[in-house]
Amino acid sequence: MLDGSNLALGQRTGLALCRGCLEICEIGDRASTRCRRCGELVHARIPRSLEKTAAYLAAAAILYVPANVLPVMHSSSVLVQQDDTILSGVVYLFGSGSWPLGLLVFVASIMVPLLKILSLGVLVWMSARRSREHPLARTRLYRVVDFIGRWSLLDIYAVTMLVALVRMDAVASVQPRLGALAFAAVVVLTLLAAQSFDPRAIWDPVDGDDRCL
Amino acid sequence: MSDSIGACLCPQCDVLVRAADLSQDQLSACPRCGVELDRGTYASREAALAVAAAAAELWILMNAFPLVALTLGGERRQTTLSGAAVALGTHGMPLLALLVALTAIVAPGVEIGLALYVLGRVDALARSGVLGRAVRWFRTVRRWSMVDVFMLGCLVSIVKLANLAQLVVGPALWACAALLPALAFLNLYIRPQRLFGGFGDA
Repeated sequence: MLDGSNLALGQRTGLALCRGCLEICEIGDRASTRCRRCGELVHARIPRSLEKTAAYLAAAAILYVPANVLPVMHSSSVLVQQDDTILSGVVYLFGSGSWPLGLLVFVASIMVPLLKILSLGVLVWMSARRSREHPLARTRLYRVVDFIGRWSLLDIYAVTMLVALVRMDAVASVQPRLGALAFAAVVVLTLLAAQSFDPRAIWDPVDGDDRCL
Repeated sequence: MSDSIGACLCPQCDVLVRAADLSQDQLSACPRCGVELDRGTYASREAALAVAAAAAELWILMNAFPLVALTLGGERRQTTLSGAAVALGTHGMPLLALLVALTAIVAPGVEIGLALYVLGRVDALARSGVLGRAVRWFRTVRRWSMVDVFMLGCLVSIVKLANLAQLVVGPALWACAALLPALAFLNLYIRPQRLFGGFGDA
């Protein structure tokens, strides 16, 4: 079942899926066609999928450093002036007794972006090498990455609310810092990376058809 | 994944599968990679339209009322959703403000608007050929609509402030919470598999 030798595949039957409305379009040997149902430009595979994904990933990986090193917000009150990074925010949640929430933010803000960059990196790397190994596991990995990525914006919204609420100029205030921008950019870039990766690139080498990619 | 030729094309591994007739809550999955291709839903178009209307009201409530009010040192501050985005802008982060406004306000609003538009006149839209376009836009906008993530972010900020100040959860946050199942329901109904399958049953 895994190798597609006996299966009817889109690329063998000259059919392509419209990513806009999931219509099956007859594409034949052409590079692209218009979906007759929604008007979207349909390709057999996302054009330059691996290059685009790799580019987004590289940008995300570079910004991951300032996103975690630079402070995301600055709190000032009569007693303290304090810069907070993503990690120090997690430490604060653990310290203030709400460890489940601390764990949640740790996973969503630190683990997920990192694992996402690494996972997509592995997927792109293996597809570029036209690897035939573990296609099912890689497809599942892609699904997890695609599903979970958006939750990393959690911390950005939390900072937004703190900035909007804590603005008693004399008593206390919270201001956003550059780290928040870098962090938001990492999340958006990894979302774009996941969207531009074509999971069918995992299966094409397995199906032994070199027409695509 | 489609139906014009009575078949599904797996979006993740390219296998052509015969489309199945699904009864409610039944799932069909790709035989090779296991991704969900379709699921049977029992809701009628009228029910989905009612949910879309409710979602529109909740979206308005979410934007019109304060999310959280905070009292600290004798001063009281509260913020609405758009106020929160604007606050980022006035603190020198206009790009971040734009991201928050797009993902938490605009995208959910457009998502709900398109749902109302599609559900209100499915048959007329299908005849004039606009339905495909509307469904495509819905699917694109939905990816950037993050009410659920925003809600959790709000809760995180509340926990962070709970030790320092007195907090009151505003109506907008409740509306936000109520909006989540409504949007999930709409996503279940506004799917190409469902809308183009033959809405005789809708």
